[in-house]
Amino acid sequence: MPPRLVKLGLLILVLLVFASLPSWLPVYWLRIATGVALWAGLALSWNVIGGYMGYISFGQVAFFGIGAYATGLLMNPPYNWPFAPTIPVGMVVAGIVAAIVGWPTLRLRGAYFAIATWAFAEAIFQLATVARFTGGTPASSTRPTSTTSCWLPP
Amino acid sequence: VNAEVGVQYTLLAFFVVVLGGLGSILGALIAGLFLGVMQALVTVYFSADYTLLVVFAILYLVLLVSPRGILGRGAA
Repeated sequence: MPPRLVKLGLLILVLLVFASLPSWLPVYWLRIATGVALWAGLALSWNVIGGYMGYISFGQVAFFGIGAYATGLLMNPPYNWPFAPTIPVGMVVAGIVAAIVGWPTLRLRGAYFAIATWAFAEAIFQLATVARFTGGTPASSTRPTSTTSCWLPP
Repeated sequence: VNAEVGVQYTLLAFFVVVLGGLGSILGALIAGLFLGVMQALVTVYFSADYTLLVVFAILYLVLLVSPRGILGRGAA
């Protein structure tokens, strides 16, 4: 068996295991597994700009948070969307904001780029704590979805 | 007073230095005055909640317009 096929098979196996987690894992470990996937995704996004492109960016979390707030706002009243369709919307919203912000910011170099992205991320953080729609410091939470249907439309 | 009380002042001092341009003494002086006055104005006319938001927004916008600080004299 060629090694590429073995790799692909392992990848599909891991995906299947991850997809099946909500139906058999205890809630506590499910939360930890969610955190693993969440932070791994954030780390991969940093790898693209920091690892491949060599830009030191502290602004990833801002787009992370914008996507999360897009999902949260769409799932709460008055929209009440199911979870699955909010994911692409969150991706698109975060991507658009990142494109608008990145267009001028990526012209900066070295330490100034790092500081500018950091300032942007902190500004977004402060905006999230003072803005009305985010729920302020206590933050907003979405209505709970059942563990088995969390990645399927209800 | 606690062990972490210095962090916020150090952080603010760092922002002032970046805003004035790294290595520029006159820039740091002007940026410190500017940021301090802006903070006070925002606290009086809007709300104390918005001061940090305004500080970071100013820092970000100044870096975009003039990457080497407000006088354009900072080190590359």
